[in-house]
Amino acid sequence: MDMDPSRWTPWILGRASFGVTPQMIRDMENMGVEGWVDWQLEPQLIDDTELESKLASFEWLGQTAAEMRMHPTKPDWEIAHEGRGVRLLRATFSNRQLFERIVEFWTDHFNVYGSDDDLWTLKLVDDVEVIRSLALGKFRDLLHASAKSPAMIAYLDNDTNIVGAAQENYAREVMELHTLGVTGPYTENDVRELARCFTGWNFWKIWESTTQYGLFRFKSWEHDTGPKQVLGLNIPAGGGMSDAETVLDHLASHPSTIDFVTTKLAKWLLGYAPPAAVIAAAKARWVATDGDIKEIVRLLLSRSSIQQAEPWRNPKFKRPFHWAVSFFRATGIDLPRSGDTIWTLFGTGQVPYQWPAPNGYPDVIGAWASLLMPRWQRAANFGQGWEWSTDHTNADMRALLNGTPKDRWAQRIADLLTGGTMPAREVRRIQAYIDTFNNPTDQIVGEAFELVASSPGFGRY
Amino acid sequence: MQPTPESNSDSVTDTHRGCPDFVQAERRRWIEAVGRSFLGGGKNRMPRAGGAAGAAALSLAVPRVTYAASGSPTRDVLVFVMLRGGMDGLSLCVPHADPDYAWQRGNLALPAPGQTGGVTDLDGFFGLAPAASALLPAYQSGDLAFIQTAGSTDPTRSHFDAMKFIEGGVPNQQAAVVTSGWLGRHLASMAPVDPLAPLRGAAVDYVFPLTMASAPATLSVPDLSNFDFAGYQSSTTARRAVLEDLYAREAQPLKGAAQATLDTVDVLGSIDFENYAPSGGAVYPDTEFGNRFKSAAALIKAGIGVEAIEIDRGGWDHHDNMGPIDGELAGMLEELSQTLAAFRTDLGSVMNNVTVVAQSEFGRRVDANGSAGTDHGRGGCMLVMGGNVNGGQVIHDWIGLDPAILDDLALPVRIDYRDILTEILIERLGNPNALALFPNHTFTSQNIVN
Repeated sequence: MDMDPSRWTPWILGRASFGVTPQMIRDMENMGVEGWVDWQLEPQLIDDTELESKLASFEWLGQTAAEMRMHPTKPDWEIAHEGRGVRLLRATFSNRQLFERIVEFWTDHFNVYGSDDDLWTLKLVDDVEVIRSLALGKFRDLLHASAKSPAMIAYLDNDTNIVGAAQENYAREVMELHTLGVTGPYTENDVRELARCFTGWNFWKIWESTTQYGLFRFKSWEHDTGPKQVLGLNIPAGGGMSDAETVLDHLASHPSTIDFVTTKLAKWLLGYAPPAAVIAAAKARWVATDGDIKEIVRLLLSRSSIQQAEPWRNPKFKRPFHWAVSFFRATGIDLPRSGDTIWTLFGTGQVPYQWPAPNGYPDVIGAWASLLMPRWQRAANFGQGWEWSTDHTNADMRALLNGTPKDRWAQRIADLLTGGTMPAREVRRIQAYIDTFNNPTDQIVGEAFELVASSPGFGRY
Repeated sequence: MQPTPESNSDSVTDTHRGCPDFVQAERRRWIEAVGRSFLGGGKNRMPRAGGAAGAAALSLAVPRVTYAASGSPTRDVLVFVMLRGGMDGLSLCVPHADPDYAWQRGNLALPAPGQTGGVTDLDGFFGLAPAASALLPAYQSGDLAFIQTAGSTDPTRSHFDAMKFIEGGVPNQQAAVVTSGWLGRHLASMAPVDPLAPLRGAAVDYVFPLTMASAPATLSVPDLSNFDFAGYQSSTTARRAVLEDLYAREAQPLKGAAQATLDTVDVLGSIDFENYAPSGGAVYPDTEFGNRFKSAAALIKAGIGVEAIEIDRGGWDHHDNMGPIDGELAGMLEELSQTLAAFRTDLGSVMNNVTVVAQSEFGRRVDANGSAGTDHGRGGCMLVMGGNVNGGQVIHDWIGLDPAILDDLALPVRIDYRDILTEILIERLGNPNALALFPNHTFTSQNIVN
């Protein structure tokens, strides 16, 4: 379909945010698509005081792992649970929406499971210092930071990778999942040789130092100083940390990496099968900017890329977390007990830092389409104000109708929740339901919200 | 629970509003979920969950299905278990008599039969790990077979590629995108056992497994006991009709998923999973995996026409501190074994119409690494259990563990997992076209079932 560009807005916002709000639609209409993207790509300049006030009560936020570990009252697993809630609050309430979507992308790309021994707190440090610090930086810096992230080291066992007894867990995944991709040009021997390069990359354990706990530590005496050969690179004998750093540099700008990561990012923002020309342009931008993520995102969300990718014709299916967050954003439901809301979301199949495997939560429709019932159940509870972790009531839902006459309720709610992307026939069907009641009670208002939230039109973006 | 307006009328002052049993169920699921792990090593430490949700569960007013032995006499229910992460088959079905086993495994080698903590001899050459001893009765009575040296012929040692090729049924075919699974194609190629069955396949998990992709009337149902509409019961029928219309014009997979969900609600709601009492004194481990099998038993006994169930267990990627004797791997083998044993006891004679297959994407290297763990390997060990399995044997094509003949330091794959599955699909699931489910593969029977 040829769509009037004035109707692009909700579709672009759908991809570039965790869900439309009336304010965001006005912002993009005022600034134009590219102006909005430029604005969002400088997140540090965007006021976020509303979110910051919601985060103020998380006193451990920004602390080192050692400080969190020494928390006077909260055990590490409790901080970790609050950390999931912080992720929910940021996704929902931050005005830096594009940044949060890119953070989500790298959180999956450099996935670390956050519910284990050291990982309870190390993942929270990784989120602040690696993912959020470098999400719009240079890919090379992000890769290096992830490699040195104690969370990644603990998660993929590099802390037990030592000279004479190399183990390959991280070395394999950094090539397969983080850089070259599984079809990349590496061999089993490259995996083993790279594992040797990473010997000694470790972090301070709690029994080694309570103050430096959780910081990166290179144990030179555990490093294999022999010569190595990785991906055709000769690593001479006698090296230290530079052995692996040399390979990381090589990986960061390898053509296979550029292809794999750019394509994945294009799928994230533009659709399950983005046009080859857009991917090619984004790869060229990577080369021209030495892997500047901000510039690659800017290109992917340019008017030209969007015109070619046609999100309105190639919709994606929201993952469960995205689905829930977009509902909270559209309705403005407050989340005063975010940790409890996380518990509610567990049943949907997606909660931050809970994907156990290093490949991150899947972003394909086939993985999630058959899990509709948990969404429908929650849509009913949200709609009726029965959600135990929030304080909103039926009256709040009715207030969102803003005095709209009854015969336009479905359209009103659909516009609120999707910015107008919901197909007319879906709106009509829901309106027909509302029309069966002469004098709709709050129950029916709640059901109208439930049905829109349960619809395929709200599920796609 | 279907809340009524009355039951919520006083909820304004209650900060934890909503359906109390929903709250409780969510907390329970969370507690289970945080104990779950996958490839990243299952150093499971259960949190002490704060606060108890003490609300009493309300009894449901829906009539119950009576549990009874059922199922088609000619087509088994298949229960497929994907052990994700690369299960070390050498620590389950241990080649104790191979001269090259113990020295390569070092501290990770299990002691020979007769020694303290030794394996239980199975056939003079292989022995069962003590942690898996719950499987002995099934093995000894001929209901359980191990298939050593089994796996996918694809040489990849990537978890994700290996799983993709195994679940897609397309090893060695360089398929970049795999859109259907072997089990999905099986269900699609067969008429339903019960023409009215709303649910032919169920993955007891959140994310839908590739194995089942493209299967008709098949869903992810992570919690079988919580598959019902929320909201006011008085309007359920009308709201459901709206959902049916809303999804009717969707493309696949959404359309089929919505249809199966809507069709399945009543029938799953009529089974009392919460109060299900296993038969024969069976006791399932009180873990997510154990409870999922328990629900699967209830589902099978309810006789609603389910033909295939997938229940996965991750966490087998033991690169460090593998612990096959008394550590982490031992604990996981114990859970797996006790679960399968309980399932067999629970099903009793129904087991004559059920076949369970468990496999991993690959086995692990023969030599231990420097972290008391093992790296990714090739050949592994499959388990096949059922009333019509030619059990009580270890099927294998063993050529030894001499490093010189290994597949790049790993047990070679000598028995193609497709042969095991094909035979079961033909003989026990009655699919005359099972050969076509695995393209470009020449079938060789291993005589695994009768």
